[in-house]
Amino acid sequence: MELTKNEEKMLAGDYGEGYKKPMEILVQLGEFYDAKRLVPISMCYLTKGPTPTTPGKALEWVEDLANSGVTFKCPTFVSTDFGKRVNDHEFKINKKLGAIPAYQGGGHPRNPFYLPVFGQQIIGDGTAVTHYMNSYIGARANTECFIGGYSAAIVGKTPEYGFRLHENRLGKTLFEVQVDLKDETDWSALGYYISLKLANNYWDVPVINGIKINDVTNDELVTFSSSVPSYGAVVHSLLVGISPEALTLKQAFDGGKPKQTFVVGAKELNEIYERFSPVVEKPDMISIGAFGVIPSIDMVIKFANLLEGKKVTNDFPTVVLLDGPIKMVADTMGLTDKLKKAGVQIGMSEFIKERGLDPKKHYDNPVTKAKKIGLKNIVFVDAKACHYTGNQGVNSILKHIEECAQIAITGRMEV
Amino acid sequence: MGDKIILRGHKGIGKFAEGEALVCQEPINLMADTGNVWNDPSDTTFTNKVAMPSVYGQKFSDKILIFPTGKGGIFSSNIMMDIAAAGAAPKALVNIRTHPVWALLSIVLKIPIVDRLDKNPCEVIKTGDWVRVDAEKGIVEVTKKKN
Repeated sequence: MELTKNEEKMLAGDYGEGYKKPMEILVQLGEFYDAKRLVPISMCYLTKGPTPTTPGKALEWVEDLANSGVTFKCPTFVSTDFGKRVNDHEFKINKKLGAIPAYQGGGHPRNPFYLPVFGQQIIGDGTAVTHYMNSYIGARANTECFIGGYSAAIVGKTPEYGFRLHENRLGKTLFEVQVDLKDETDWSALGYYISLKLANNYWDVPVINGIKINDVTNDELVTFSSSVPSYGAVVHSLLVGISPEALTLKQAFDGGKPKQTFVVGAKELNEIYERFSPVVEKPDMISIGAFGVIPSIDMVIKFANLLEGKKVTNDFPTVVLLDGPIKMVADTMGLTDKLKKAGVQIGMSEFIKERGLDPKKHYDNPVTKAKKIGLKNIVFVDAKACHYTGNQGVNSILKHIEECAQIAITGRMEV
Repeated sequence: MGDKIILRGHKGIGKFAEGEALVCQEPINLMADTGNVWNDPSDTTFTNKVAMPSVYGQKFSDKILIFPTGKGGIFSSNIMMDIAAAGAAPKALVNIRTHPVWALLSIVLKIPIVDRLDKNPCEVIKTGDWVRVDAEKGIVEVTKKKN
């Protein structure tokens, strides 16, 4: 990889050990992927994520960087403790580096406040953010985890490889959608279907054709962004007519042909619902939202309306995760009160506390502790949530929001 | 000694390691696939039966872990850092094509990793084979396990 004189100085340690370490990482990464150079980045979304131990080796690694006197070289956004999930110590470390607080900025693109513009090179972690920024904004990002993200933010540059290059952003596979996607749950199922098909070759950029532009909401694109990297690692797709690099099918493939075509009809979509289907009548929990899946305000409105004047069963908890701007809007609209009145728990804290865990530890959630707290059957409205709880041996059940309301009221579902 | 097979690929990250192979046919995300890491990182086991049928119930500690690529999300590196600190990391990694998250954890944890080989490692290598990974040269030497 060719470095400028200034970059070589940084690599040699002329600017101090604090800058040398991230530069060494970026150079090794670039050489592994045959990058020709480093490119400047315009902004970063960083997320470290939970760790099995406290504070965890990852946070120690970040803290070492912060203590070496380095600072971020471009606007860098990190998740804050708005939702009380990120601890103060971690936020202080990020603040020292020059981070700007963002609502779930690193983890999920639901209503991000800070956006890049078309063509900019950015760090956009986690995977849902990477996908949203690549696919619908046309900014350029790979998924590089906290190690690559912090290194790039400190140096202000990152190796030019993968989805940072025009040729790798072109369509490679075609998904012809021949089924109406009626809600966000269907979009999550479509994302998961594509994710499964491209599990071992996520770089084969999927082009999604057959969607009527006027039928799509931004919330659905966010939900899709969250789901499509969940089984495989698809962080760039092209939605014909919507993605700025795929206004037409021809543009999506740059005049070329797809190497493989998949038809997604009702049968294919249903495969995902069958993969996550109930085995018992009574679930242990209904969760609207989950780890890395923030429900949209539209979803919250629907659920609150469906439960208005009704009571959810006491047989198991029904939980809606509300956080950040979504919670503010829900509070203002009186939705939070409506849900509480129906017996719904807001956020996971109450439930986590009831089960003897610490709600302040952001790794204390059903994805990481379901087995320990006795959750065996959980109903979700999102395929990504279903996928993740599989690690706990949970039987995850994918249902539309109307079905969730029905199960919450009756306490039972059809097996 | 069993039959030997040599796979040649792109120059990897790290140096050299050898050990027994654990071959996984599915892409890996430690957040979604190894549930018990949250209770005890030193006992990390593949616990997702639906997503990881080929390695369900198995552990990668001290193995040469062969798998197609990484999958989303991005938390495999921070989880692997705790696993490595608990002494339960794999000795080396071999992929069809390495996901950047796994390249980065390999750089920081000094776990050798090799990919872009001339043969599909998930087909050629079987669990139990003895594997020598020379990441500096991008060479994987497989000694087949005797039946």
